[in-house]
Amino acid sequence: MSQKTEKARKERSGGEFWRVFLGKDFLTAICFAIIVIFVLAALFAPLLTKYSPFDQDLLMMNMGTSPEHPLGTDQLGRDLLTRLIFGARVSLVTGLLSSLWAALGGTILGLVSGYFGGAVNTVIMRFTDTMLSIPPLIFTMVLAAVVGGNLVGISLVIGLSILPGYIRIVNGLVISLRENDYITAANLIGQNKFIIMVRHLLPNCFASLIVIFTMNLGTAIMLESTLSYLGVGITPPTPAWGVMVADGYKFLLNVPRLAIFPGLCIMLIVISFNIVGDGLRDALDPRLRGKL
Amino acid sequence: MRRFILKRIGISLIVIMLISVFSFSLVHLLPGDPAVLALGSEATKEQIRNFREEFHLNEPVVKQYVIWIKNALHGDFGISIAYKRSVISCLSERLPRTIAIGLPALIISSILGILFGIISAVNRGKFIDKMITFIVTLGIGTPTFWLGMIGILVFGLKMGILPLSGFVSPSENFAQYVYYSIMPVTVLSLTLLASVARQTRSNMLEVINQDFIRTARANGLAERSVIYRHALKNSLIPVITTIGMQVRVIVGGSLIVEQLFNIAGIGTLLVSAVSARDYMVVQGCVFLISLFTVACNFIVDVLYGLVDPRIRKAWR
Repeated sequence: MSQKTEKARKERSGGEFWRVFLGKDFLTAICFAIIVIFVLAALFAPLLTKYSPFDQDLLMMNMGTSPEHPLGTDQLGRDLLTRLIFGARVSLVTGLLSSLWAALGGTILGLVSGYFGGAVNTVIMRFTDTMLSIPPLIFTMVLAAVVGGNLVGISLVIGLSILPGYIRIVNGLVISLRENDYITAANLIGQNKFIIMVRHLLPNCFASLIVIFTMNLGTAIMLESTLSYLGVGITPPTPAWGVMVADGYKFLLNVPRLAIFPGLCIMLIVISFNIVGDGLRDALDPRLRGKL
Repeated sequence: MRRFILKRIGISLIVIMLISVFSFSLVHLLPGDPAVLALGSEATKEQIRNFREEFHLNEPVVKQYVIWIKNALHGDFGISIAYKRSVISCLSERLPRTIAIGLPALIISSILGILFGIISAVNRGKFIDKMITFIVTLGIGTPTFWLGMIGILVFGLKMGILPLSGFVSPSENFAQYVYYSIMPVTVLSLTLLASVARQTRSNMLEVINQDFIRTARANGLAERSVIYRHALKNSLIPVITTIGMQVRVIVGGSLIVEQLFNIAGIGTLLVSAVSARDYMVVQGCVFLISLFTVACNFIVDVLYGLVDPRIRKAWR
């Protein structure tokens, strides 16, 4: 019997999550759908189009909309829609990787500095202060030149730049959590410090971590596209939305769609991640409102 | 209070030292040999050796750092390879242009951002709140470079009422300065405005839910007085910190806006220096810009402590 009620309770709380997350207002649902569409497009990119993002057709330069090319072609005769779809791959992969690096580093450093406090905390916090003093765009731009235009390198640099925010949030959470009785008890029975951090502190940070992760995806994609736009991010001919906007700028008067569409994609996905992040926060832990 | 300020000074000094280490190490991180980059690939071995000697490139790294920081403290950041002049003269020539665009953007976005935030919080859940929240979300999600480009397309190319690019110094011709800077300043303001508005709204809502506001209302105070005399004062303090932090965003944004509107400011200098591996300019720019943000944050923190005794206590 108790098993049954337990199961019912779980089901209800699962339903509750989806109800608050998607049912609150339709904007969150729309944004969630947009993300799903972009992810599917990125996953199945080669199946969705018969062109490759690199195939040039110099007889078909800057062509308008046609049945063969629904969004027309660019300055080198490449299909715009194809490049947008493959661009989703670049953006999502860079965003995902950078958030992943930041999440790994930020969680570890935040846990350690929050739990141990004292000198360890001071050293880690001074490093985050320093990184926060360097404007993120300048920090990433200079380091992007160091790593060159490859995707993994760029994602590492972006991950590094969003790391300080992560450390601060996890650190703050852990500092408030470690005052709880169950942590004091674990300390008193001489529990291994590593186990306290991983088994007792970390699970209580999960809700916040998921929310920050989602929001950072948007930030990371924005940074990547800005770097690519400035010419220090992903190198052409890889179809990155930022590069496409920069290239399209040269044809702004005659073929404005070359610059408009990739920009719209960036905007849609960044906004979607932000709104879905907000929705997740309300669904997972409404107490985080105002904090994240 | 003195102890609080001294502590803040100490922290700022440590941060400045770490920043100097970071800026300095950029030379060794950036690919390519600085001497070869400066002299060109046709330079003789003799020339390269002389160059290395002149800029202490053959010394141990730690000694190089000491020499660099010593010179930097005397205002000497070396020379720009591309412009063949001292880094500091390049910077001081371009700084006024960056300020002429960045400062108005900071002021406009702070005032409007706070205003929108208050309107939004006071009318929570109503249509106007939803409208402002929607615009704020758009503002945060729109890439600055793309927004500027749409501005150029619509107001410059299609309607022809605003210039496409360029800059006129305000001391030279103020009317022309306004005409040329409308678009860059607006574009730069929008992202910042959005984040200030969002921050103000959430702070304001937090304060409105507190006990003393309920007490004020229970005592029969007029709603207007509750909001503007009691809630606003308390919610503005964190907003000041936000604005202090946003200096970083303005600096980053100027980079894009200057590039887009072809304004020869610090941003364009840094972008071209990074792509040309003009390493002493990169070092100097990164160091001075970061120094500037540290200084801004320090001032904001001290002001914060002055206004709010709770903060001073927390630092003891």
